[in-house]
Amino acid sequence: MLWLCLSFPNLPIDIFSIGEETKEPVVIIESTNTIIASNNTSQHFGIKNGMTLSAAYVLSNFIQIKHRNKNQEIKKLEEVAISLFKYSSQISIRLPSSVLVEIGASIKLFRSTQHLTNQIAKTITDLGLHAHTALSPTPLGAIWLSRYRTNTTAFTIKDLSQYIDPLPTSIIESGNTSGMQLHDVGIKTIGQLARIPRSAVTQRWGTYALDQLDRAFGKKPDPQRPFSLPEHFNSEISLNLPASSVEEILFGIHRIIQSMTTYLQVKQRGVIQFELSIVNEEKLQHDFKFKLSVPSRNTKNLTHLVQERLNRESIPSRIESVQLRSIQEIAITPSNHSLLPHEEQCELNRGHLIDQLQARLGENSVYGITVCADHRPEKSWRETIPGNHQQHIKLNHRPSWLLRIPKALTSASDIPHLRGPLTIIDGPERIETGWWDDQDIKRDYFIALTQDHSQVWIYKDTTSNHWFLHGIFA
Amino acid sequence: MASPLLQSILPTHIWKGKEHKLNPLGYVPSGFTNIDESIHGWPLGTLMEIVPHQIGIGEFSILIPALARLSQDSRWILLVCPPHIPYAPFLSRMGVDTSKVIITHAQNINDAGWCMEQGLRSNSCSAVIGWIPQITEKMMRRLQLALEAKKVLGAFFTKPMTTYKNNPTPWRIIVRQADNETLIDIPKRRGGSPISGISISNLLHQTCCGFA
Repeated sequence: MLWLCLSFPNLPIDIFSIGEETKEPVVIIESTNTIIASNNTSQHFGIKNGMTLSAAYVLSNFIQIKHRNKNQEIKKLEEVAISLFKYSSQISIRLPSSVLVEIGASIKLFRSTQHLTNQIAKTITDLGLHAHTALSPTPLGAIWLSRYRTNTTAFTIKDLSQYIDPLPTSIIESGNTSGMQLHDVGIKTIGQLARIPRSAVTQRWGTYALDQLDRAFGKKPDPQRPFSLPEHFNSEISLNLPASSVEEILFGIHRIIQSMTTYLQVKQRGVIQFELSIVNEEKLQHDFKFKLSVPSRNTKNLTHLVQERLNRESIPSRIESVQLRSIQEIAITPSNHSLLPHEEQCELNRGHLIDQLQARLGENSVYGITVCADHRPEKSWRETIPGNHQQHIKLNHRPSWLLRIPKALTSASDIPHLRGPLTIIDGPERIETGWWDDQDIKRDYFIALTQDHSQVWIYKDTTSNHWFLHGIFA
Repeated sequence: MASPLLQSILPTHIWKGKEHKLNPLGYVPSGFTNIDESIHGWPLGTLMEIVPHQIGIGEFSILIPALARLSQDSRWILLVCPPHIPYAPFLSRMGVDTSKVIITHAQNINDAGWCMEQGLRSNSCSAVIGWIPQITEKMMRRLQLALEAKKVLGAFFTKPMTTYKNNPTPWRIIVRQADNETLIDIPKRRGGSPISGISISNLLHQTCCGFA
């Protein structure tokens, strides 16, 4: 087993730095008004972690203050975990800021450790994060090393001791013994602690410290709680600067959709319904629901859809964050490759075209049509969702255009007029009744010619004796 | 035909008068013998402007047998902004698989042009037909570009009165009525000389009987 630990010391600030890098110093504070993270500009001013806010104000007047958002940090770690599933199946999150990945089983697939770690590093950079990494045969060893000696690689337990021994005892967290207690009595490094007789340590400080030591050196099993995928994708991105146009938030949207598609890929699913929420400074939330006709996990297509939709609708100004939730996902079975590669692609494109048109024009402006088994002309067709299969019905001769609302025609001595008197060339065809849905009709239909030789479909309402234009043979 | 001497000195890629050049992407049979004989059918991958002189003379029906054939394919037939309801019983009777037909309505000409363009670019349509009376030259150019090199039937209907300075559409088809029969003039087509007066008389009768 070989564990790679990724630690994110800048996580509290990294989650806020999506989009443009600000020129102003930004600091993250916790409830006690102590700074726990800061951006490069702040560090340039001399602001350090652990300073109080008032001390920081002495160094710069323009600092932007943000409160730590622990929930979002956890979400971000989950996102990292999801994106690492393509490298390993054993991943666990170690709070506050580390992700453990067992890569030993994947080395062969990725040819070399170096190659694999490089790929992982690239994935992390793409997520906009800065990681400290370490490799060790034990999980705890990897965590400790990644926090203190970044870029360390220990392949065997033997190698491990030379790297772990110099680490300060303060690394042993919590439990009955705090690392500081050991430090105070002069046991400053892990190496020193390991050389003290075990009984003496247990007698004075209990078993916790030794237990941790044993786990780190692989003398005790150290099972990790595996990270499992959440039921639905749910993520949020905070923007660095408040944005007021679609273009400005597009980058963030692209990134969050990319996280969703990675999640879908791991789950082997495609999203069919999802919701995007845009939150502005006043915490007003605008929700946009998306419903697709085919499940998709294509970042480009989904981004395109969202962009079209947002361009059409009004979005709030001074947007602070963007949230994305998947509502319904459907399993996509990777299809067998068709002999004709074009066919398969076509099926996916077909659905995408509909979604794209609907995103821009609205759902009701894009539809299919079908024939219905009804003798009344206005009921023998209806709008459907595109691609609905047609019924097979025996049909009479019908015009190519039907008027949505029949147009009343003038008539003189029972001859209907449309740009002059009409000449009837075929008919009548009587179409009547419909008592079962209160849309009773009683009509005689004719095919007629206008003076300028256009062919039209007209009817005479036999109850009122009025003439109407109902279709055109275009 | 030019003299053999002239033939021999002219570079081969120069197109010569009456010589006919076939559309590289092929044609879809129009379903009308006269049309198929004179122009091989409707060209694919090249934009057609259809100008009916009046409404109700079978101007849409001239495309129907071709659409029926194209609807056997798995791709969509996209109708953008039709002036009335494309009547499903008619289409179905003519052999068009209505489950392949999508209709879109747009609020303005830009959206309508955009719809056609998306349809042409998507690789998922076998035919894209639009009714955009106020289409601009710029839009036609975009549509032609989107259509280029795709096996798609692309056409749009305009009004007879509209004239364009530099109409980039490679094909212009006029549908008119004379002496009780429908005639088709093709004043402009790529790789061929103008043709006028192709008769598709008894259009409706022919299409009815051919597919009923």
